[in-house]
Amino acid sequence: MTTTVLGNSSLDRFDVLVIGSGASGGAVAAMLSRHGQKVLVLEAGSNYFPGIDQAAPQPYPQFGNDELKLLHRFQIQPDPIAEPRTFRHSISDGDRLAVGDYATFAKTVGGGATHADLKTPRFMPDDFRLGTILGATATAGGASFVDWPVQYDALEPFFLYTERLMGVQGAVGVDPQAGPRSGPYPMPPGAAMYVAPRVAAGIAKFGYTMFPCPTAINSVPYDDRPACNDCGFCQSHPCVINAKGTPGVTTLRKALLTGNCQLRPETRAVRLLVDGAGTTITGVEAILPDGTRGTFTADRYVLAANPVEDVRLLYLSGSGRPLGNSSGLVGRNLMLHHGVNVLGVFEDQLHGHRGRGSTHAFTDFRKPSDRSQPIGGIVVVTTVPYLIQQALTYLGQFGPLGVKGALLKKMLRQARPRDRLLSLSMYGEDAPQPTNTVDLDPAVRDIDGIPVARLTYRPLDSYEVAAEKFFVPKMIDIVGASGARFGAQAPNGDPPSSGHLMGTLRFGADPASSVCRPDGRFHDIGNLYGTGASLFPTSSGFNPTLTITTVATYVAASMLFPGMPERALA
Amino acid sequence: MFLQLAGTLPAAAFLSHGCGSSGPRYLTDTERRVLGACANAVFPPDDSGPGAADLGAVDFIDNLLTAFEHDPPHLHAAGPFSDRNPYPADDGSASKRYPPDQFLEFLPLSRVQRAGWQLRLYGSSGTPGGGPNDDVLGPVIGLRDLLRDGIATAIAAFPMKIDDVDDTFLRGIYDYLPDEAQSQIQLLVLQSLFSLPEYGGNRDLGGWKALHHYEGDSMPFGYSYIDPATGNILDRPVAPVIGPETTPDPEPMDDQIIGLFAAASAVLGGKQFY
Repeated sequence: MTTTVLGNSSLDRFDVLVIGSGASGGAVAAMLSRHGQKVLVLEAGSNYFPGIDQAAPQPYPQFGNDELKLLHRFQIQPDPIAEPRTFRHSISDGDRLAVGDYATFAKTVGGGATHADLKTPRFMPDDFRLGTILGATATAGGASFVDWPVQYDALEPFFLYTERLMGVQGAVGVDPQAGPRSGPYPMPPGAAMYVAPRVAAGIAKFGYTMFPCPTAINSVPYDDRPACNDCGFCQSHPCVINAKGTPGVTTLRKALLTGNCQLRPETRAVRLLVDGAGTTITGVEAILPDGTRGTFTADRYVLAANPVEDVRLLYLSGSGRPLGNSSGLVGRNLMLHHGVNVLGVFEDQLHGHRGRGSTHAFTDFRKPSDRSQPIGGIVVVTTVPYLIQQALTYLGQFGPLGVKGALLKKMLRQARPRDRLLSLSMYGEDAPQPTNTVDLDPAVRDIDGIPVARLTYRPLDSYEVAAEKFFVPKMIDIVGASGARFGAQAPNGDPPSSGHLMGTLRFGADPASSVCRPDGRFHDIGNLYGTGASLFPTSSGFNPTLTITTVATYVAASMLFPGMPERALA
Repeated sequence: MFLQLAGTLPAAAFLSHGCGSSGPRYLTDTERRVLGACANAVFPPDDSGPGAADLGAVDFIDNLLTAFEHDPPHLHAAGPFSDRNPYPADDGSASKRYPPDQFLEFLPLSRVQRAGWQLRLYGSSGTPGGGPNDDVLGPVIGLRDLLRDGIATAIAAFPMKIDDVDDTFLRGIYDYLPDEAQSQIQLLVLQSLFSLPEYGGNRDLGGWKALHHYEGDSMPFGYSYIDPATGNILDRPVAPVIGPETTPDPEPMDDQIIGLFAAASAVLGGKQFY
């Protein structure tokens, strides 16, 4: 773990200060520093990429095939005892319903893209114009669907650029819902999970089409990084050999190698300093690794933590209300993806602990223009590899049926999750709602005594709940057609546990209905930018990391070449 | 019923649970014995293999409780590799080169990580200034106190003197633990069984072996490799990724387990397909 200043430590004046080093922050830093901008990146979490700023070969990171430290001991996740969040369904619940790790997101150099399994489908063209497609129903039930200010066609070259930057494997022409492409994937699909052909045969009985899901993991040596060797610790685990295209080995590293970027880990931005008029950011106050405070300055500032922490910082920086909030929309329209999971129980040996935990997907539930069905999302086929987690799940699910002690032991032996269980996971569209919000809890504090973020979230019956009711029975039938003996829906998370955070700083052309402009700049603050998932007006039904990185690249390109961002790709 | 299960072996014969390792200790011998019995209540020894106590659950838990008696604290094993798997040769076969066991070293914690773990282990009463939300949520009870007090409560409530019963009988004390202590012990025992052995549990990889040789960490060897002649991604037949398992199912699900899934499926509104 490195707490020292990384990159060009001699830099002391910066054009741009980026708060957060994940999918968004890494992409912004990569684009800006490539074009000679001097960039400072502040990251609250630790760095586990030794040599991130040194020439190839990059050393192995300080992770491991280690479920304990990654999933149970908070190596990269915020520890909820030190940095909790609070949660409620609505304001009628009072100050909070619960305190814990709600909608938590990795806090480490590289952010959530470090341990995501990095399925990287593009959002489809219809995702960017749901306001138009849904028409009068766009606001039904309290939803606030709108079109994006940037459409697929404008983003397409940025998608391609990002796929090459991250190193995405995939096959062209296999996803019936995918938008047009101007180039191939950098790599072919990697090893398919054993169960993939069986599920493909199962879903074909219903007329659906499964395909290898685009994924930012090397299937062949690429960009000075090795091919994946299918160790099996991919879901919620960082890659041990740098085969996964996380920011620490792609965007962020490339930024640091330009000599134009400096990265400060374990440096928590806690307040944006603003001028008297409230229209210009003059600095960032941060807590340094040793607990003292310091101030950092630049000409322009980019919020790239995540949709929850971005808003928290804006609240902490205002006087009783968030900065940049003339629209009243800062912190509103929080979206989490309505993740629903159907488990299939097989009597075979699926050996899902070997290989990537999810290699294939289908998108037949994602047809926003088809009004004969609700708006669902991509469905990914996932195995269940981890022992501690699954033992706890068995206890939770089967404990009330008397499973404990010797029977638990027998169940873990015979119903080995790695062999018997398969999950179909749908990331359904999560309708934007102004009443789903992030703000500050009035009383709960983090370990530094700073107010924590409070999430107020309830799914919408007319969209995500309707999609769940419509598609789950089909998903159960699919696992049956794939050979399962049993199929059932696993209990949903509350709030959804998709790990996908979006919205809260919606971008758009109208200052009255958006927080940021189409180029990412705040309407109210001339030198402050939102980026990545925070800007998303709608959530789509796809894993968001590629689009997060792409939008961040677009914002950075717009900072470089206002009105002509594509020039930055040359 | 309870008394009928009492065994006859002297307690001293079972005092060895988890006592084999060196290093700082928080728990007393009595507490370790009770904890070992509780661990075996969660994951008992039987014909299929040893129970959690013999697999190092007590050492694992004591290691956690004394994590801060090391510098850096013994919480996050470093990695990325153990010495259990070789580097692959150019042709994808196993080379004769093995990495050192880098999980034997531990990573430093950040200031925030350290503060969180100190509060978790030592509680508000053992943390200068207490926890940040003591006034709102009540003080944090540290895991050290929670387990010590929970074990003491269970000993007091147990209907026999624990020195008078053997370890098999003593497993019943698990039911006398306060709910929170029982929940934490259950969690920690499962973690001990299936985590890397460098944390103190999973002794001789017995936790993984108990589940029919779960292979655990596989790096740097991994499972697939690229054929240098064709460029194709290939399986190793002994542990396939793409292809079917090449060994017979070591223990198929019997009617009891199938019945549990049928019941759970019905509760969840699922379907049975055959």
